[in-house]
Amino acid sequence: MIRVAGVTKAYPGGNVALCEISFEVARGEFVFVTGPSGAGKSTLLRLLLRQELPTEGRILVEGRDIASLPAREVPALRRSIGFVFQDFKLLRRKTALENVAYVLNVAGIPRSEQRRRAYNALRGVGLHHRAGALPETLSGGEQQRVAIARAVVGEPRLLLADEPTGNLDPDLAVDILRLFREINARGTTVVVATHDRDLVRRMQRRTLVLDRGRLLDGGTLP
Amino acid sequence: MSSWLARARHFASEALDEWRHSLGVNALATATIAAVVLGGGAILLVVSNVEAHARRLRAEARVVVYLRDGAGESARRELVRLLEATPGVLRVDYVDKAGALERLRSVYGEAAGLVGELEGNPLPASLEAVLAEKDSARETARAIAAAVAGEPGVEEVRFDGDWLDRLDALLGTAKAGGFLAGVLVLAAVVLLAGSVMRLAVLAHGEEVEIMLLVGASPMFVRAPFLVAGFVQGCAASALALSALEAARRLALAAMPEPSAILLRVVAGAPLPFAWSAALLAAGIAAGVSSALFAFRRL
Repeated sequence: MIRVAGVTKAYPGGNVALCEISFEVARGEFVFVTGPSGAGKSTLLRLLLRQELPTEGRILVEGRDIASLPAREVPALRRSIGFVFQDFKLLRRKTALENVAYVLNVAGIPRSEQRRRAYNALRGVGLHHRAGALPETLSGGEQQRVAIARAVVGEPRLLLADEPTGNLDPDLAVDILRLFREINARGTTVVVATHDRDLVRRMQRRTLVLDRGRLLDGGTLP
Repeated sequence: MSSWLARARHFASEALDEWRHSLGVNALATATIAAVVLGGGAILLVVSNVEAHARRLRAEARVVVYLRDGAGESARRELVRLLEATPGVLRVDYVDKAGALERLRSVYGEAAGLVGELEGNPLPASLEAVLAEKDSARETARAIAAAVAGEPGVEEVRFDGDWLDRLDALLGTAKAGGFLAGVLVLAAVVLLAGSVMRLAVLAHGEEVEIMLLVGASPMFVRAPFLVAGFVQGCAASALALSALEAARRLALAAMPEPSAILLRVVAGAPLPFAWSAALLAAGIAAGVSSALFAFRRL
């Protein structure tokens, strides 16, 4: 599903966020990327979403080298990946339902179908009763669940999550990870970046350990 | 087709939403475009009216060839032939001595009685060459003077309308200068309104980023702003043109004579439809270009 080969990401000024990272993620796998703050977890996920380009190396997602993807094909790549952000990144002026439906709107899905699927996705995360609520009226946990509904509503084959429990209390964090497990059970490949080692231990999944931009452990498939 | 309609409806609704949430910024951009269209419209109104007035005067412009007393019928016929053969002459009218006196009386009324008190009719007969509008009046007058010079029946050749050529040249310069100034002002408006709209875009910078991250194409993000720019340009131009016409009518109704005479020369008729349409198009272009400018680095 994902093949990262010899990827380095260096920023102007000499800051190296990732250094010769190589690993693979199989289709349908659930993988954690962990490490302390500044280890390069978010950078790695940004590279997988083509938010940034690697300085060196190749990143293949479903066989496509996303670094050499033409700019006009980037939106389609992003539509094929579900992404959950630590800070939720919900559209403030749109309701929970509209936020979830936006992904389908972008993909050109008919409006009635958008609403039906968005509602079902919200039901999947237990938030259908807040479909008409604006993000600012939702709690952090609720906002994160809306963000997860948005990430999965397009039925992506790959779901990336960057510190999805970072802003949540421990009980909510477990709930959120349970949701990811359910999504993964339906066949979606899930990659979760988190610094919460307790959570990782509890889930017992393959873990890629990063430290100061280097992959310390977990790079090989089990 | 229905997906296109759905897209159009989405963009229109997003544009409306954007307008509602950045009311001040959008109102400022609209007002800027409206002010420029109003200014440009006022200039074009004056130019179009003065031009129409000049055209009417040109239609009445004629070169008068005064005939010597006693010029015979054959000499007159020869002069008519020469005049009609001159390029730029539309037709030739003959005014005899009695006709000249009659015209004087109709123009000056009782004051013309002084002429009647003189022994006989002192006014000469004349041939009046009516000029075609498209040709230069001064050049035609020169050609006529050259054509009839030395002819025995000619007393004098007079032409008082060569100022029309100068007016035409002035109008031509005004139009060319106005067009250039219009393009420059419009470019400035695009920069200004675009910068104002960019404030709105930057205010929604986070939202734009989110839209792009979840897979919206730059065009999908930009389209509502383009729709808003189109509507803004349209509304601003329509508003400015309506205000201009209302002001014109109000001024004509309120202006007392004789000042109203001058006003009728410069603003007697409304802005021609073609020019209004051009201004509307310019306003729309400014609105859309401003939106494009606002999104130049998406």
